[in-house]
Amino acid sequence: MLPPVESIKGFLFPAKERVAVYPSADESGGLDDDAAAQVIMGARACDLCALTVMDKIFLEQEVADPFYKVRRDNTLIITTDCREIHETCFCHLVDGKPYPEKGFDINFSPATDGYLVEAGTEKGQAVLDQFENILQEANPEQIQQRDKNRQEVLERLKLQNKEFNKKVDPGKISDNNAAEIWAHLSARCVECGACNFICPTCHCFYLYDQPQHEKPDHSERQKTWDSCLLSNYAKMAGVGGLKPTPRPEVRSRFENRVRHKFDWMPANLQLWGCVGCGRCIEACLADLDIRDVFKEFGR
Amino acid sequence: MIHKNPYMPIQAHLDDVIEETPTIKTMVMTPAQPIEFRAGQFMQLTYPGTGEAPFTPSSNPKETKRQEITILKTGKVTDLLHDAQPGETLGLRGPFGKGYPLDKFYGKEILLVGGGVGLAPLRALIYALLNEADKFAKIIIKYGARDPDELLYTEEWKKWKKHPNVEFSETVDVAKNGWKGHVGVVTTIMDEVNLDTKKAYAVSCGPPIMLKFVTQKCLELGFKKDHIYLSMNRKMSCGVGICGRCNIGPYYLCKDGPDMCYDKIKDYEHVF
Repeated sequence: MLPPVESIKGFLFPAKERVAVYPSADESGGLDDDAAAQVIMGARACDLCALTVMDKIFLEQEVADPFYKVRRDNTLIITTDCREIHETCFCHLVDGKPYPEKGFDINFSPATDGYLVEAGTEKGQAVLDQFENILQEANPEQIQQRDKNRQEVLERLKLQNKEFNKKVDPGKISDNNAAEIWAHLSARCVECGACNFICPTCHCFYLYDQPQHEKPDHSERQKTWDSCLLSNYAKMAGVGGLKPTPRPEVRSRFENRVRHKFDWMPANLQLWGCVGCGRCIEACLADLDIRDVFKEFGR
Repeated sequence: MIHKNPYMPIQAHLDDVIEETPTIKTMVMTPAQPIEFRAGQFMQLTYPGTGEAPFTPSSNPKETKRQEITILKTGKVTDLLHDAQPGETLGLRGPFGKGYPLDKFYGKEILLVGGGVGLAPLRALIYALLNEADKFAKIIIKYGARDPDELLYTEEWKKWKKHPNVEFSETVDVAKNGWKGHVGVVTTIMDEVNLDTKKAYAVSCGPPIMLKFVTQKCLELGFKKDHIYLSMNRKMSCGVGICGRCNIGPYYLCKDGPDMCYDKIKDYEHVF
C-alpha cells in the first residue's frame, strides 16, 4: 500500500475550524473531548515526524493552541511501515526512516503471514490488551524478516534519490544573499499554494470573523489554513490603497517557505521542518521538486 | 476540555472616542478584566463580526483598568473602528510580544523618533519612562507628521517639553495654516541630537520607509546596531507565534517583537 495522498495534518489541525463564539463565557467554540475523539489508521513514519514539529508549534509555545491540544489528546494513532514508496519519497534525506520508531500508539509492520503489531504507548497497549486472544507472540524469524524488509525499503529510497543523496547544509542555506538561486528554484512556481496545503508541517493560518447566524448579536472567529506563497499573504492595511505585502516577489516567498523548513525551524525547534514525504512534489502544478534544494544547498 | 483559548477576545466597553487629527482617533476602552501590559506590547482589537487588527496601546502601562489605542483610518477594520460610537462593545486580546527593553535603557540616554501615528506606541513608552524618570539620563523625542493638521497629542507635548529630563521637537513634511515650525522629514531634525550616541539607545516607530531612513541616520550619528529598536510593520494575527504570518527570518514579531533590535534583523530581505 502506497503512503496516503494526504498527511494526517487535517485531523488535528482542520483546514477550517471555529475557534471562538463571542461574547460568551464558553471558550470552547463548540469543540470538546467527545467531539475531538478519533482514531487515525495507516499513518506513516513521516506523519509522526511531522507531528513532532506540529506539537512544538501548537503545544510548546508560551501558549498552547487548545483546539490542537484537545484533538491531539483524544486521538489514537495507528501507523504502518512503508513497504511501498512513492518515487517522490525522500525521508532518509531529512533524518527520517520509512518505518516508525516512536510517537505511534500502535504500529503494524506487514509480514508474510499477517502483521507484527507493536504498542508505542500505554494507550496503544490498552487497546492491544483487548485483542489478546487473537494476537500471538512474534517469533525471532518474523522480527528478523521485518528488519530485513525495513532495510530493503531504506535501500530503495537511497537508490531512487541517488541524484540528490545529500543533506541540506544549514551554513549554505542561511545565506541571505542567494536571490539568484531562489529565483532559479522558483522560476516555474504558479503560486497556487498546493505545496503549503498538502505539507504536513505547514501550519500558517488566518483568523477571520463573521456574524454568528445561530445566535443573533454574536460573532464567531474562524481559523483557516493559509499559504505563504500567495501574493496577498499577510498583506497589511495601507493608506491610499497601498497594501504592503511582506514579500513582494514569488522568489522571496518561495525562499521564505523553504528556509522555514531547512533553516529557521532547525534553528528554533532543533528539527527539520521537512519530513521528506514528497507530497509537495506530487501536488505541484509546475513540477517543482523540493529535492532540488538539496542539490543547491547540500553537502 | 478547551480552556485558556488564546483566540477568544474579551469584551471592552468603548468609553470615549477622541478625535486626534482628521485621520487619527483614540479609542478609550474599559476591558471586562484589567489588562496589564508593558510599553511596546501589542493588543488585538476586535471589531465584532468583522475581525481584528494589531495595535500597541498608547496609554500609560500603569493604568490597567482603562486602555487607550490610537488608530489611523487605513483599512477595513480601522474604518469601522473610526465609525464606532461610545457605548459600543469591542473585543481585546493580549497583550502580546516582548515590549520595549526598559531594563536595558536604565541609566542611559534615549532617543525616540516617531512618524505620524507612530507616536502612539511611543506615548506608552514615554509614560513608562516618565513613571520612573530618575532612572533615565535623558529622553530626546523627535516627531514628524505629514502636515500640521496630522500632528498627534499636541496638548501633551506641553507637559513633555516642560519636563527637565525631556527634549521634544517636531517637524512637518509640508507646512500649511501658517505653520512657523520646522519643515522637513523627521531625519532633518535628528542632526542636532545632543547625546552620547555610542552609549545611547534609539527607539523608532513609524512607516517602513521612515524607519529605514531613521536607521541610516542613527548609524551615521554613531548609534550601535544593537542599540537601535524598530517597531516593525507586519500583520500579526494569532499573537502567540503559531499562525506564522509575522516572521522576519526566524523571528516572529508577535512574540519576539514587535519592536526588534536592528542588529538581529538587518541582514534579512524586505525588513523595511
